[in-house]
Amino acid sequence: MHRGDRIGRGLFLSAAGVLSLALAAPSPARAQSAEELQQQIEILQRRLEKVQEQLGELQRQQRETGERVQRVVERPEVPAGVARSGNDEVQLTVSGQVNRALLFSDDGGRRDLFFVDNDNSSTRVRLVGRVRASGELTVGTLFEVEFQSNPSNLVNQDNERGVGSGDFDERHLDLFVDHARYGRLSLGQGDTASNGASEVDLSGTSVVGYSSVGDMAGGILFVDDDTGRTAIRVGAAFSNLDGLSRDDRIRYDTPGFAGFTASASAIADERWDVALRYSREYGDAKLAAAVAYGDAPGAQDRIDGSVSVLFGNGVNLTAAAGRDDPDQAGRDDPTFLYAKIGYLMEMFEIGRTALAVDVYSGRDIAADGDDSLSIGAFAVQNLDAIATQLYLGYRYYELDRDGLDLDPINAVMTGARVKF
Amino acid sequence: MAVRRLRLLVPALGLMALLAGCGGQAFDYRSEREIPPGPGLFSGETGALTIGLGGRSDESRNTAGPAEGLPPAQRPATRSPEPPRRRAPP
Repeated sequence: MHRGDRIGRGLFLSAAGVLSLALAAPSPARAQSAEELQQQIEILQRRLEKVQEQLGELQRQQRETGERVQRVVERPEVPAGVARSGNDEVQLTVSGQVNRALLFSDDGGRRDLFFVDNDNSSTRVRLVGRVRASGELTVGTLFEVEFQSNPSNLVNQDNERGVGSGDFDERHLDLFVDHARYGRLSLGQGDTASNGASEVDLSGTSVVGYSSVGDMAGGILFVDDDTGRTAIRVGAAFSNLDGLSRDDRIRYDTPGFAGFTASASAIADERWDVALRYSREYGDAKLAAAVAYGDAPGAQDRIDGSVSVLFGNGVNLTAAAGRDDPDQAGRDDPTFLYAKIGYLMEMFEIGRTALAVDVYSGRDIAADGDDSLSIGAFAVQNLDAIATQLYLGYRYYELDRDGLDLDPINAVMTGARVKF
Repeated sequence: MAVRRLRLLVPALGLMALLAGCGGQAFDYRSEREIPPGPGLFSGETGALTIGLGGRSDESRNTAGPAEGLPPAQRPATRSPEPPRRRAPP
């Protein structure tokens, strides 16, 4: 190493030492920085405490959320936020269906196409509330209304659209008490005991055709060859004389015994009715039947019934009949007979297929001397995956009335019923 | 008229006795024109939306069709499914 280099190195080290001493020596500026640092530490501590508080709050909320999730898992049918009752035995269910169709009619001279609500099984909503009052006793309510725009039994050649009440119409507004051993008592608007007695049907095609043949095209007016369109509706000339319909009544049903159930109801205006129903399964075959008697003073006494059997191979037979004894002096007794043969099969994987043909014959239904005849053919395809039934039906209506030469009416209906 | 109906009553009662003696199994007839049983498009497997009222689910509730509540005109022969029972606490 040269001498110059050694001198330079010594000066460099000396300068570095002086600078280090100068930096290490206490000064007012350094003391001020320490105080600021202390303040910053205190601020950070306060912030940390706040963060800890927030973390605790989040952990508490997490626990509560977990408990809620656990409750929902234990009661999956109870969505959070829905109204609750203090009674754990309460159940309220909501269900319904939409049933819309195209209806084509030919009155012998004019053809029409309607967009209708299928009156065989109208669009409706149902709410059922039930509460178990004790081990064998259940108290409940049944609220069911229908909303039909252009009902298939009301549209006609003069009224092709905008037909119907445009509002909800009552079907069931009912209170009931159901006891396992003593039967069921119902009070309110609903089925009288005899309602449905003419309509037992196991064919799987009732959604488009059954004993009330006028439901498909009941509003269509017959046309006379000589005088033109009449005021005679299909629905008036074809009736299945089915009990006393739905009404405001009190009704009692016995418990089932060996397949039998007896019913009775009382209605205002001294109306009353009784019914006996039977349904049983024998091996693969099913049998259902009903018979009823109803007294409606000022209108008629009525007896009607039906029976339907479905065999294991899918073949099914249905029959119905009824007779009125009118309180109108000199009036003949209206009667009807109905028969249907059908076949239920599992042709497609998408759902059951039902085919059927039927025939209806009525006498003196709308007027003395009337002879009414209807023949129908039906197909229903169930689409199980989407809770839907597709259907197609044809009906022929013929009315023979004294002094008139009425053209027969042909009707075709196709549509879908969707349960939601 | 009344006598004629009484005459009909005798064979009807005989037929009833015959049917009652035939055995068979309970069959829950439901009118096909009512809202059908089974799953619904939106309501799923149960076929009805159950509004939560505090009750716990059980098998009977899950299988209860929307026809529950209807008078026996639509389900004449058998009792309706059992209403919901409280599940025993774990």
